[in-house]
Amino acid sequence: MRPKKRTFLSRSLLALGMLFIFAVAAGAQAPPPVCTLNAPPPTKDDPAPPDATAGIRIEVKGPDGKPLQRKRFFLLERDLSKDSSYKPESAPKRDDYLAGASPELRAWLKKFPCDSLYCPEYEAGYEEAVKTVPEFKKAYDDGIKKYQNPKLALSWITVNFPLKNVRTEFYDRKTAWIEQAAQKGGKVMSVMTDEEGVAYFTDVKLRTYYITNLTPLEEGNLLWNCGVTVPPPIPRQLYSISFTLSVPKAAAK
Amino acid sequence: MKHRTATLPILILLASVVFICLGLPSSVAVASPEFEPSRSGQRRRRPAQRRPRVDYSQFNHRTKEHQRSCDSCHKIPTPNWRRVRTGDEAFPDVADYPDHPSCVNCHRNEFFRGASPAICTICHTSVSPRNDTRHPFQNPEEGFAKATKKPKTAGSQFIMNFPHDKHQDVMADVQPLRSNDSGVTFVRASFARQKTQKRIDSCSICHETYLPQGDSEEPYVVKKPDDLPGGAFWLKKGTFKTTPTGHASCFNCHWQAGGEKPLSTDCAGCHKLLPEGKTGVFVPRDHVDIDVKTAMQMGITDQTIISKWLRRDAATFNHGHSKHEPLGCTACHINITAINTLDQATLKVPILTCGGGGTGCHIKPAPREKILNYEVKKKTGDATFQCSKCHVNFGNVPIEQIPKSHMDAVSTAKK
Repeated sequence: MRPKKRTFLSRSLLALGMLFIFAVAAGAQAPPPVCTLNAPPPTKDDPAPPDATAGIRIEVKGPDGKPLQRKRFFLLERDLSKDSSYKPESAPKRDDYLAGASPELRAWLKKFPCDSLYCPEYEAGYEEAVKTVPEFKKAYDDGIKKYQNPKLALSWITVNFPLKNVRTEFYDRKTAWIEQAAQKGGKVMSVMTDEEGVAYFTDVKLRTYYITNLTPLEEGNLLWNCGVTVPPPIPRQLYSISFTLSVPKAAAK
Repeated sequence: MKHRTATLPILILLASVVFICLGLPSSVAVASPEFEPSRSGQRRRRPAQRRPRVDYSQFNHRTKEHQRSCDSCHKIPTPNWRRVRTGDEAFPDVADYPDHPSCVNCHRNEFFRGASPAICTICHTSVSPRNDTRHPFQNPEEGFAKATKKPKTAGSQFIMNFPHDKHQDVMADVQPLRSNDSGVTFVRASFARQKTQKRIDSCSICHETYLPQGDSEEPYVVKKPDDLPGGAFWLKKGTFKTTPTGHASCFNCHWQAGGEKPLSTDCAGCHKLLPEGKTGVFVPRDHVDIDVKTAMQMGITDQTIISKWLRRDAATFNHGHSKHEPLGCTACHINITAINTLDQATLKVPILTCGGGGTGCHIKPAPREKILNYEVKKKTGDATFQCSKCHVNFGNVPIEQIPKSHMDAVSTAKK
């Protein structure tokens, strides 16, 4: 009886261990992003006039199913995934622009993941940062010396911030990288998602495009590249086709 | 003999002088562009090519000589920045006219012309060495708006260039990138149905409701007259959104060498010179939905309201309406990235957004017909009908002037 019990116990432990390893592996693996067409495009008997334009609606969700806010998406004429010179993994990364930053600043920046120091989440945290982060403290003290006004020193803190590379260099480099990639893909226009993760491409010609965020984002290097053929305009609608860009629930953590 | 010998050279010399003096004007005249020989050999005077008369009492930034770098004249900040705003409101700013040296280097003559040089009146209220009072400067705007006596050149020669797309990006989140090099997966679309969601947004970082209803019991900007006919339009609070006007929301990021480009010293980075004769991006129209006269009749004197109202195509639209506010700005302003403050067309809101993106808030055919369908139907059936849900003056236009966008929205909705 005992050996059988031991075998059962060890097998159970082994199975649990395997499950745990698989779970960890699944969690670490990048969930593949998908583009879901929300409604099949309508079929119309009448062909659209040659100069007809329509709109595309996108709704973007992260791995947790929540809206991905303030993310820029591009409408391109060409499929960049077939362009060997386009290497999304070479896009600038935030961590590469933290040279000279104190450990406190690095920790503080991680609280609010933004492209530059100017994003609203950071601004709300300046008051706390001047007490705990040396770079912010220096900027604040310099501001006090210049303006003799604590409120002004705080609201203009980025002006006196000692590390320009931390302030905006990442944003500048990333913007330049994106612009170059967008040109390669034949940029038509770009939009930014709102608080609900929604954005519209409007007045687009009825042809095939590619919707992409160009630089990987979110954990797992999320990069969407949705091929879309714009159907004729739909009555009473700003758009004739609508996508949800998301990460499948099964694959998401 | 000696006397005669001396007289002759003197006479010859005098004759030479007389000859030279008589001959000289004609040689100058030939060289002068104002004269040319006529066919008959006589000299005819050309019509004078006078320099255009310059009105030195008006300063024009469009003058070529005035288009050097802005900080060659404007001090940034001006010494009075602590006086024009006080306490916590104060910040380094350009709040006064340039000083004399920036003008006198080129206009020394005009500075000392007559007892009351016209050039002085550009900045000074009276021309007197004992009175150096200046006209109010156009910045800060709140101080300028209150001033009773304004300079002759009041009204900006510039228009603001504010790139919404760049500022959107600066505020964008970045999610941490993974350090692994597992590569990137491209995917294609698949089919599935999704529900639409209500949206909110954060444009309020810069644009807030102007004169919000708040806890006030009075819903109107000016008290509504008791004898106003039922259903007649009267301006409600919360109709407009603010637009940043001063430097306060710019200089905290763009200040001098410590800031981002365009720097505060590069005024032209944001202030774009308007062509001669233009007063703004909004093209003056013969027919507007609300006019100053109507505003005055309502007792509206607030310049912020009037300036924003005159631009409106839908004068009655109320941002603060209880059903509009929760929708968020991007429910209607659907392409903020494409907004170009220098191009009026990009600032328009598509009328289809009034249809709630297809859900039918204000655009829906029978049987539960919505207001756009109802008013267009009434208007096309009765030329005297006045569309009044969104419009004041535009509601009276002839049938043939109903915008195509309205007809399209309604005709397609019938399908």
